[in-house]
Amino acid sequence: MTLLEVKGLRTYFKTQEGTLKAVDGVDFEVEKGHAMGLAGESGCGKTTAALSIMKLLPANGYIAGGKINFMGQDMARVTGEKLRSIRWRDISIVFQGAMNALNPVKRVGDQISEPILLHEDVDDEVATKRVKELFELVGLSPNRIRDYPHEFSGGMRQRVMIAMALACKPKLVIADEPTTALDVMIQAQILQLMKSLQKELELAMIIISHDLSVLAETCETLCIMYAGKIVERADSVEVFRNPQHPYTKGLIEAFPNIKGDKTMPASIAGNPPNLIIAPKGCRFAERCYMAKEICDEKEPPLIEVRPNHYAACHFVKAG
Amino acid sequence: MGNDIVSVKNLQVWFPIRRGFVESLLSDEQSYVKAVDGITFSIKQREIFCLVGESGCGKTTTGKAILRLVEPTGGDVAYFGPGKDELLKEVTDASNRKKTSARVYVADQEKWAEFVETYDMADIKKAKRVMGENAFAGILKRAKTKPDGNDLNMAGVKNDADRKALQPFVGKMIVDTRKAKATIGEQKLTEILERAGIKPQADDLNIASIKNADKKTLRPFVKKEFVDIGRAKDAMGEKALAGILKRAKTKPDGNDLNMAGVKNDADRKALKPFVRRVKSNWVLMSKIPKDRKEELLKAGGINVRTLSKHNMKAMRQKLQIIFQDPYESLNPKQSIYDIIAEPLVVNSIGANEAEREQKVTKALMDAGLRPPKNFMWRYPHEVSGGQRQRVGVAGALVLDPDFLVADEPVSMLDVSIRSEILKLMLDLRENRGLSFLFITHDLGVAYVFSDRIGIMYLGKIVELGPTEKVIKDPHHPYTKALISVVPTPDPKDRTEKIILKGERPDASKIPSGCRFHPRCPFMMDICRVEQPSPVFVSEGHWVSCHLHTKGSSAEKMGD
Repeated sequence: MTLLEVKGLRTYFKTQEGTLKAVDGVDFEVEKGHAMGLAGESGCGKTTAALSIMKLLPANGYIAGGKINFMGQDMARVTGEKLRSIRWRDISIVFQGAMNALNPVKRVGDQISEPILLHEDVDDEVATKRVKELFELVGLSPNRIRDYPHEFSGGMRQRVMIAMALACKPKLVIADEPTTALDVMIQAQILQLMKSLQKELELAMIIISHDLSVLAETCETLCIMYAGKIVERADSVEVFRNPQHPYTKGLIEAFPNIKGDKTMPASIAGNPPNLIIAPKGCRFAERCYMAKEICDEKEPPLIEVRPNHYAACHFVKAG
Repeated sequence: MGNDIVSVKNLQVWFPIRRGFVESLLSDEQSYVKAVDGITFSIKQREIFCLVGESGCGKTTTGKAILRLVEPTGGDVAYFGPGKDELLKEVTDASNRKKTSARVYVADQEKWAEFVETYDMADIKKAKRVMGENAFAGILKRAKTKPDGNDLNMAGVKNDADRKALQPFVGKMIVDTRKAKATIGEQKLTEILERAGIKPQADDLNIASIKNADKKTLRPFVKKEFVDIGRAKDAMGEKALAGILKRAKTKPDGNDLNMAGVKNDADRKALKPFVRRVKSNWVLMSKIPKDRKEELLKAGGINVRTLSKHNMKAMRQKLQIIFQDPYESLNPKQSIYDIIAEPLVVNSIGANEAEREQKVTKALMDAGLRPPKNFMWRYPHEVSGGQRQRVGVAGALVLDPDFLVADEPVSMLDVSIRSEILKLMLDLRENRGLSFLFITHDLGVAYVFSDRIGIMYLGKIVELGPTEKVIKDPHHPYTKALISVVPTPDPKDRTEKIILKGERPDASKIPSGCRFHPRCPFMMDICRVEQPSPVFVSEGHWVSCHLHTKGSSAEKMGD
């Protein structure tokens, strides 16, 4: 069952230099109980795309077009009370940088019970009981709900953030770079927790990361974004086994493989294009080793290479 | 690869914990966060040595302590790289002017055996146990000093009966060959050596393996001997050994206090039973005969830890650091030119602005920011993350150093540009002959990039060896776990993960015995009690774990 369907989403920012097209025509779907990964370099629009779903854009950002169909409602148009009732109750988010996302002067328990008290008609006691359950769920001691954020380590704060996202039993959780600032061992702990929670609670998830290997370990499907567009979309095994877009290939090769030979991974030279004056043709052409004339002139469409495997490149053939 | 460029010996960095007024009344003892607690390694010229560990394991502190950006509490950091000779000369000249003798660091203790300084070390643990914590703390306070193998030095055993009992376990018995030569004649000594099939090391000779009457001949020339505690314990029982140790008033394991700091006569007397003599890597210039002075200056290194402020400034031109986070380590209000030229200004290098600009241009070129003119006058926020890190590299390069500490230089960068920065550093090694101490928590990066790896856990190195050996054939359970959790890009190519429970313990409350035991899946009884010492695995590969202590009581307890 499709829980979320994003079609032709365009999110722009007004800046002094002009309109910045951070997300420029993005399609994807998230199934119930499935995890989808959004991958790409910093500045490619992956966080903006996710924030658009929850309508948490900064003041100068706006949804310029497209549809965000969440359980029969177009999130792109929902406003006011209606939006407020969906936010956090149906869709919640684990913000980037657990170190700074918590309020330092409020006890963590109070921060978690806040959305519960707001969204549900319950009293303090019930909310506190729920917070304790949530703490146990994410592997924290329930005795610590009256502690302040600084009393927790980085990994534990990330667990608090996850508990907070789960407070109102949402159907969709967006996790924005959930492990980026963490050590490898803590990263493994958090990924294991997210995977088990997803199974246990039948959560749908959108996980955002620049680290493809993290997504490979947690997601069923993957979208690779580049400069505001999706360049490849397929289930994660397929993406790694059979990458079609040169950018995807580059990202996969950029990984040091600890199980393979001791060779230096390749890198993708150059920088992403300026999104205020986006190039006319393929946005990756400037950095692409395959680029030909056509790439500078015409934008490649996202075509189905195999069943359920899409790629946007002039040199892939529909099969 | 050539000689060592930097040698770190028994380095300790302790941070005192602040105490409240009441706490200071209740106890005299100051507690510490032992961020780095006795680590030893050396880095060869043109080598990339990698320290890997979780955050808080002390890897960054180690890097900073080498440059003395934090002051080490104990141990030595010696520099043998280019430019050392001039600096060493400056240091010795300066001390000549002050009519004191300069100290020179030597890596090879044996070769300079007759000249190296010795210290009296008191055994802190033992002293505390016998005389009580408070009395001991009092001595420390009056002394105004801070606390700084598996062998027992027989010199401490005075009781004849005890000496006799220990004799069978002597594993190392060093004979002074020159003394022996002078007394029994060179020919006879050569005959003995031929019979035994051994060669003396420099002027010292280990005669433990000689079994016949020859041993008797050489006996009078023995200058030091060590008892193999493990064997002695097995043979005579722990209790008997403990008795001897008690009478000998000495203890095998080190947690030592340098007696030089204890000035009070009564205290010296009280501590005397706990003192043992320890050899240092220091040689006093004044003790060296004239003809060997040149040789010493050539072989000796500079001990970074004891340099004066003035000399340290010169030293830092050779030792530089690339900081972790390019988003926070660059001053946002300075242009890139100002950031990179600052070290030149501080060190008064370059006669005029034009000369400085030339140097900055070269550093930018070497760091891959080309053409330099396009970058020089921009501000940090005007360049991308990867370029910022290159600015950090250029800033470290501008003084033309020989050794770089790279503190997580790629952790904050996108995967797609990480290898660009890594390749840049490899190029610098090729073209400038740089050596690196590379600090990272990402074993994947360490694997593809470094020549040797040291795995750190809570202030100690638990495994050390050539990169391929450590990654493909890990011995320590912690290394194994770290390798297993490195995410693999291919979803089909998965092996089972060893996810350790909990997080690293607080460095102010270090667990007893092996520091890793509370999280170790293979914990044995001995791990709670005894600290493992490094065990040889293969050429250059060492591990500190009781699982691999062969023939020790640990193996038996593990069975």
